[in-house]
Amino acid sequence: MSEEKSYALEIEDLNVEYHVDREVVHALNGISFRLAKGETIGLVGETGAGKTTTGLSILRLIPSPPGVVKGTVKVRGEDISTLSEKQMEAIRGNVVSMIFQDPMTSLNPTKTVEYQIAEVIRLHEKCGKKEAAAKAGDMLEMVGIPRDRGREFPHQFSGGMKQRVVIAMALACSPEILIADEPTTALDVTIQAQVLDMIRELKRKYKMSMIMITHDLGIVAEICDTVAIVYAGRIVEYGTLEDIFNHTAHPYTAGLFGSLPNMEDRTQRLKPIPGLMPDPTNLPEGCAFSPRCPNASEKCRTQCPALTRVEGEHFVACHLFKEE
Amino acid sequence: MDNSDFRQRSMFAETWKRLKKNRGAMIGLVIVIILFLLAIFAGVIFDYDTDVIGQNYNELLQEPSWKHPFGTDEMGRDLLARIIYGSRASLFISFAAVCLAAVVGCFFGAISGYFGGRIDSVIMRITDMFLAIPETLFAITLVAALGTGTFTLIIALAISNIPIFCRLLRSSVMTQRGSEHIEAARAIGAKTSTIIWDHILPNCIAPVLVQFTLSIAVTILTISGLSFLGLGVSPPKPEWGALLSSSRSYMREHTYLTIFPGLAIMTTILSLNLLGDGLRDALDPRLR
Repeated sequence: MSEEKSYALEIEDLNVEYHVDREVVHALNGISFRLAKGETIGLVGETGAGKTTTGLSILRLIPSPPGVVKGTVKVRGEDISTLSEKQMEAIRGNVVSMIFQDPMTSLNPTKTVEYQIAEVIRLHEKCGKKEAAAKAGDMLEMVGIPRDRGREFPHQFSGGMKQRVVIAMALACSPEILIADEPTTALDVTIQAQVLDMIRELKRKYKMSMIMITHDLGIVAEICDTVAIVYAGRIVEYGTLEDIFNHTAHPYTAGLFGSLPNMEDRTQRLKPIPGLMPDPTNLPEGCAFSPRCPNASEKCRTQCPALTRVEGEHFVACHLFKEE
Repeated sequence: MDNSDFRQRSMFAETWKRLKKNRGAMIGLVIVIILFLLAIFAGVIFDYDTDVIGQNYNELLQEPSWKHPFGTDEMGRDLLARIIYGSRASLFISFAAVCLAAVVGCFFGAISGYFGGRIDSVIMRITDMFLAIPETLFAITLVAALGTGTFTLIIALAISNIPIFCRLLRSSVMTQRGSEHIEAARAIGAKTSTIIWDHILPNCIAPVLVQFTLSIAVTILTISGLSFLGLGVSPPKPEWGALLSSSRSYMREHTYLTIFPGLAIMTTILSLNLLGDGLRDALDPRLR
């Protein structure tokens, strides 16, 4: 990775554990990646792989206790673990903002939509109520909702429109980093495409860096520049879109592609990955994927592979690939 | 036009619109308003010294008539005047006590529910202690210790109502705290106080309002009970429970003396309960 680039976000060996009832849930086990300005990274993985936890730790919103966070997260070169809660509040929603998974529940049912967008603006920009409300109206228009509807309550909006409101809230202070946590999962397919188009366009307009958390490889192909495949709290493969899609290295990534329907041969059966994700309280000693891996050897079961370079910017954590 | 003003009104207007559709709640509301107006303007209709406490030995124990619609008591006092003046004591004491209880209870309940952990345990054990003592018994003890009087009565009744509000708010805050819109509020950089005040409390207000009306009904009953025992409002000041208590000896021959104060208590409590039920339905976000 070239050093002259300036990074919006650097994550170094991030570990998150939850200590619950004498058990330790290993949610994240040493995630590292860097995000350049204006770039989009896709975090892809099954449910429970630690994608959302990564997003929350960037905002330092892991509840503690029971959460224990180790490792460093640098936003604009600044280690957020050294910041006070007040400084952190100034970052949340202003420098880094997050779009939550479920638009149905992430809006306050007792406040008007306009009020909720204006709240972000008033928290971070010194401006009066009226000014903030006017700006909230602008944001609504930008996401394609008529300004007048800002006086309505969330329950008067459809799911797709709520997601637009959530996006408007996230973008209201033009953040440098946008964390989109499965922004389209709760929406139906036609609205998904609209919302994705909108996110892509807004991202271009504001030159934001973005973390796209998803389990949908189709979305990744459309939006992301680089991709990190996450499995059991580890990045198992990291590379450009081209690397991941055309030079798939890790057996898990291959498995993910295998479980997609093949457009050319519609009669072909899907090839799901056998088994389930390991229990995060009891991870296997070696490679976390080894119990499900078709190519697993004895070494895989005892030794945890490190992330090694395949070529260029393409990294993989698998014993099948030796560093060249 | 001020936008924020419009917004507040629209939320109020929406609840009002739904409340209007509920006939029972509207009847309750009208009765409550009439009772309040009567209590406030009692002095305009009757003269306290002559009608309410002034004894008139020419008109002892008269049956209801045009001159005395509810009849007169054993000292010749007009029962209607005494009931209307009595509502002052009942309504004022119960509202003051329950308001105080709601504010204090909600404050501790919100802290307990939001922060959890040790603070929660301490607050909850204290409320458990208070919940273990029956309301009337507690009020009797306190009034006996501190002496009868409006102020002691308010304090005694407030203290016994605090745990109910505390528990109620704690449980709704706990369910709200974990919800996604609170996490979203945190993610936009909102302060803890803003989160509690702006995002959690508005979502918890419905059960509190309902409990408020129900608590007032119960408190009116408790005041009446205390007055009945001679620990509430001291004679000759009228109070509903005291009226019932003094009419006891004349119940056989002069039934109206017990019926009218009883009806007054019943109507008030029924209308408050109707209003409370209606408010709960009107404020439920799921029904919006």
